[in-house]
Amino acid sequence: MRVRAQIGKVLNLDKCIGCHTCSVTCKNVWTTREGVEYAWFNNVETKPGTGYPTDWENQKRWNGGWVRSASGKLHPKQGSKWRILANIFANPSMPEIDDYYEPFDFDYDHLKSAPDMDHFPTARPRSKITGERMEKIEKGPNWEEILGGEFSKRSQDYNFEDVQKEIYGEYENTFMMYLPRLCEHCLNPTCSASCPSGAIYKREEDGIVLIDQEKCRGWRMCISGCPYKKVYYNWDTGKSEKCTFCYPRIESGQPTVCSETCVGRIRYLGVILYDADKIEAAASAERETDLYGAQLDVFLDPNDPEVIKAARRDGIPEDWIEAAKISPVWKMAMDWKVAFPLHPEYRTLPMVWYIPPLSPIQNAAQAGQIAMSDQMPDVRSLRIPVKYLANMLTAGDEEPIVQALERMSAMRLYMRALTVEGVRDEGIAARVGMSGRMIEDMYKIMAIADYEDRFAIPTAHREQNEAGADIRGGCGFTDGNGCSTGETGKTTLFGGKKKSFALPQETF
Amino acid sequence: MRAFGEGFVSYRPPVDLKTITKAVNNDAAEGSPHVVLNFITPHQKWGIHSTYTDNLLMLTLNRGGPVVWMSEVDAKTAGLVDNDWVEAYNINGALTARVVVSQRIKQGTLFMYHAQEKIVNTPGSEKTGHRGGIHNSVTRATLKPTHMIGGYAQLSYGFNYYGTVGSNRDEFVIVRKMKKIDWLDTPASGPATGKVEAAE
Repeated sequence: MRVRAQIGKVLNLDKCIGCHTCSVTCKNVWTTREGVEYAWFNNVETKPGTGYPTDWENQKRWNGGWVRSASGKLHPKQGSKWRILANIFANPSMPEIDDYYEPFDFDYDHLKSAPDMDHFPTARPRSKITGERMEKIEKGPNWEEILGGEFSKRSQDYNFEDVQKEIYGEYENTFMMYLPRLCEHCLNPTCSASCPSGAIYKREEDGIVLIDQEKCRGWRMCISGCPYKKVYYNWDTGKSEKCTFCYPRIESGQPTVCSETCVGRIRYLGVILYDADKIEAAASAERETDLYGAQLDVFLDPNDPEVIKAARRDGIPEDWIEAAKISPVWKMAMDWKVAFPLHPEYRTLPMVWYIPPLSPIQNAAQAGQIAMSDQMPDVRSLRIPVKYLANMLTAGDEEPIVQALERMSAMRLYMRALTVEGVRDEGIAARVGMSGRMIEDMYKIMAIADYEDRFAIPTAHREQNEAGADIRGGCGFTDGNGCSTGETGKTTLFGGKKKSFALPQETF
Repeated sequence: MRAFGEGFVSYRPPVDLKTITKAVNNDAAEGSPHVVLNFITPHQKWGIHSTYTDNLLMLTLNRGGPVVWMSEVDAKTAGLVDNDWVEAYNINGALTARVVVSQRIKQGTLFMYHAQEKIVNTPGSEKTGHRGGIHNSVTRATLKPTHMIGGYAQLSYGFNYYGTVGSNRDEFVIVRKMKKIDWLDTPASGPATGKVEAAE
């Protein structure tokens, strides 16, 4: 057993209102710079839909993630070392700018500087790539907003696999959900395995996956390697960038910007202890439907004395062990089994998990006679097909999704009985394999979702993770020329340029 | 209110305001593809009261300019596909926007979320010869006797607005694909007079 700790994340899709506050705050903080106009480290997609970049989930097209060979070994789907080197100058799996969208701005200045005209002016779009006039905007990072676009286009959605999708194009059978996405900070990241320069690393102390901007050579194999398409190429710096999990905030015990600003309070952050020795075996599980369970086995119970002993031995700080015990992520993933990894079949062991959304009963005609089992609505008759959610979250295995949805509806029934009738109905809890106490705890964390319950983030131990000698003379994290000697070079958020360092001169 | 049968919220069928008569609908006269739809102007997702939401970020997270929403069935009838430039008009006026075709819109309805500005990405209308038009260009507030009762919020004076809530502006429009996109960007044909033209 080799114990490591990661700050994991859960997004409760049942409460996402699709307001895009996460995207906007993330964009404002991280990608308003030249070179990454098209990049959204966090974006929110309307499902069913093909997403951003278009069709990203379809690995037959993009070759992201891992595949398991007949011998049981894993290699990146885009090919292992030699294949990557062979494609290094012409990568066939690389998305192009049109697969994302052509970023645009408007001629706002025209509104006040226009000459005398017969009609008042309007600000027309202009490409941020070419600077040329755009006759018509054809694409955006959220083009399918609230089911925009014909069903025939949106239903190319990969999650419709094995679903008779035609009926869901009818007005009466419409369903939708939001899917906020960011870097998954995987336990088994394909981006880092694909990097020819060895620039991508996963931090041992908190599991955050980062791209070293000094080492990155802009080969972009990480972009095709990442099945979530969450690495972006910056054409200005010639290097790739990705979600940093707002590590400067995490290190000081604060939630990421997207989590902090989430209006629906759907985002949770907490410590997960995992066994680094089990990762390879878990990611190479034979059947894709076993991958979710295999990942659960990688996680270590922070209340187990053996685990605590091993964690101390492996240098996990005491406050991190304590934080793991109260981690909301652990509770949702392990205790209640309501959170799931996004597309476990990519074999990356992602660490941003999702709680599937409940949805209304299928249609008004059935409202009076909806299938009930033990006074509980049959979650299989909900508007969002269970198979669709399963394709997204459990590689197609419906059972875990059904159990999670049942537990969530049981929570509503139980709390209704408690608050309306004043009855603690243990029967409801027992039917879904829980206790009343567990349900009340679940209600407090998932429904009330106080700030303190959503985020249990211990501060970083710099004394353990950082060698003073390495950072001597460095610029640290600076927006601008914080530590330069006055030259105003280009700014970068990812550590400034190494300043020319002059030794103090003897003056006598 | 009770005399009018409106003590409570009640359904009233749309009134024919003669805004889409044969005389107005020249697409029907010419036999060109079009569709007549009930026009409503619901509250947009990102606006809280008068909050300005037509900024670059929010436009990027949508379609980048004014849009109207139409069902897939009606789009087929009018020969439209997603993101086509369309013009919606009736006797009150006309508006130009791109169309979002979506299964979630009920057949027979055209949505235009309100508070979209024609100062951004709006071409000229073929019908009026002026710049675009907004959601209010094809509607007008119609008063009825119950609006005159009391001094309540349903009828009160506000700057630049004397009328009622949106439901009283229920309208029908004719929607068709735009033939040519004219941005009306050319400098003035005559010398500047400083005079303000009559309102559209």
